[in-house]
Amino acid sequence: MTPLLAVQGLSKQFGGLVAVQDVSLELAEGEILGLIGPNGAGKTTLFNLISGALAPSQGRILFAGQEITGLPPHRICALGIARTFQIARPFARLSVLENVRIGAFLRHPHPDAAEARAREIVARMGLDPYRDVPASALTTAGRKRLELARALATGPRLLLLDEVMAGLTPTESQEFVALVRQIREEGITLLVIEHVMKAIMSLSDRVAVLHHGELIAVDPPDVVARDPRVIEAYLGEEFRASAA
Amino acid sequence: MNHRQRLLQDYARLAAVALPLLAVPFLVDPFLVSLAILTLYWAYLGNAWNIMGGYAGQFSFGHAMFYGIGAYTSTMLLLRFQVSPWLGMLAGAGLAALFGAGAGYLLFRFGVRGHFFALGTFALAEMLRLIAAETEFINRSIGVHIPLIRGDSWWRLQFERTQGNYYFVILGLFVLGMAVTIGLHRSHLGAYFQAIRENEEAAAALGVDVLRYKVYAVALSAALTAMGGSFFAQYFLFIDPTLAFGVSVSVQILLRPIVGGVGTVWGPLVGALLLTPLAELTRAFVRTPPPSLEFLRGRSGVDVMIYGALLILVILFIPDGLVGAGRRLWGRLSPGPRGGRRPS
Repeated sequence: MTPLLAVQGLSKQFGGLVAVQDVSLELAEGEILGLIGPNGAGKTTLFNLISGALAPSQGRILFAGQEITGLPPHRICALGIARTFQIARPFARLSVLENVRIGAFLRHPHPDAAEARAREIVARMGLDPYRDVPASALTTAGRKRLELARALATGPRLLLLDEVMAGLTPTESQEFVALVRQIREEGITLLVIEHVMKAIMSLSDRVAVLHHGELIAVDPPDVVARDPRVIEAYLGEEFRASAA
Repeated sequence: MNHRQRLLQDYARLAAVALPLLAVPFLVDPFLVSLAILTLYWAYLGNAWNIMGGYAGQFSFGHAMFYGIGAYTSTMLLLRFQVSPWLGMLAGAGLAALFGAGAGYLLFRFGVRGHFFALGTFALAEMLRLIAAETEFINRSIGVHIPLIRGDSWWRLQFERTQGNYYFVILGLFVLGMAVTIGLHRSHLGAYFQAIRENEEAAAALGVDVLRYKVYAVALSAALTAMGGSFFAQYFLFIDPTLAFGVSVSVQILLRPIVGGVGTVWGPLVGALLLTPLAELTRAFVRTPPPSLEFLRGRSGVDVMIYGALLILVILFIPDGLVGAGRRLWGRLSPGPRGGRRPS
């Protein structure tokens, strides 16, 4: 079966700095793939390459068998890849509902249809009480939910989540885990960047580990957790941090 | 409420504002009619600017470029080819839209944003002014007179006897411009414009073709602005490069929507209702000041100083303009279930 997403030999250099180095990765339809690695490992750069925000220096990206390398972000979104931003980028002066409606217009050009779809998603994301307030009035957790809601409204087949749980309380991130599971139940494939280890290990079918721009492991969570290279590059750091 | 109902409600509001205005020329003296003409004229231009500068957030400091294209196009078509100014107005709108789309595409394509974009529009307007001042075909910096005709002619868009007809023309244009903005405000186009204003990267990530919609915003704003330029030429019956492409035109156009409320449907009208009479009163005041202020007699530019002061005050204290401030006040006074904070 054709993988939903296939990244082949992808590299990105910024001047002399290599942010992503020869990364190859495949996602099967319906999979949740976790993407972990220390800060600066190139996780967000990889997202920017897949979503079209950056053009790769080398390599190819195939989505459902179709080459999407170098396409602009709006085209890639229209093909069915949506993303959230690590630092939430709400349309601050628009209401929560209006924010989500922007995404919904992609598949529902009629304003009534777009609004109905947006209301549905706002309700599902638990944002109903804030539906009509400006997005700037939301808390961090609210903004993260809004990021997710907007991306979902575009009707994606593949969703890229960039640290949606960062800065949330344990309860909030548990709620998020449930949300992400629910999204997968609907048949949406997910690529998830996360630093919250408990969440990512319980969510993911497989976990990919980036280190200095290179992929050092792609395995089921329990295998990754025992991988000495991963422990040295990333998890060890985490343990030390939690012990401190 | 669904989309159609909201649209109808907005158009009903517009009709409720516009219909009583039809009576103005029959009720007041000629001075007040000319003041009303100017007020609607600036409201119309402010509304055109607001589509690009307010909704799409692409701040133009050079709207005179579109205005001047409109003014010169209809005028030259009339003088050289006897084309009715109504058709000239449409031709000017088309030409300005093309020019705006081309200029906008180049600026956006190469990532000119924010202050630099505003400077770019300013430079383009100045460029057109200098070109106009050196072009023989349009009589260089001397300018062009539209010859007076006797009596009134709707076809020639010139009214010697019935000044009030100009009022109906600008009222019609104003209603047209407002109808465009209302339609925009309620459509996905307007929503996309606002998303682009708020955050371009996020808009692109949600499937919005940012470059394309920015160009649409400029073209639409340019076309409407050019029609205002054609109206001015027919009303004033004279244009020159400074009247058409000058900096003061650009500044005047953006002043009212900023004071009234950027990116709101009614902001430009509110701004025009406040500023236009203020400017005219100031001019009249300076012409015949009271004895204690004798030193002001005949000084020009006092109105411009008042504009400047007002602009500073508005930007400092109510960046969302009078309409925005009014809405917040209303929200505080009528605490509904959602505190009346719904931005619409």
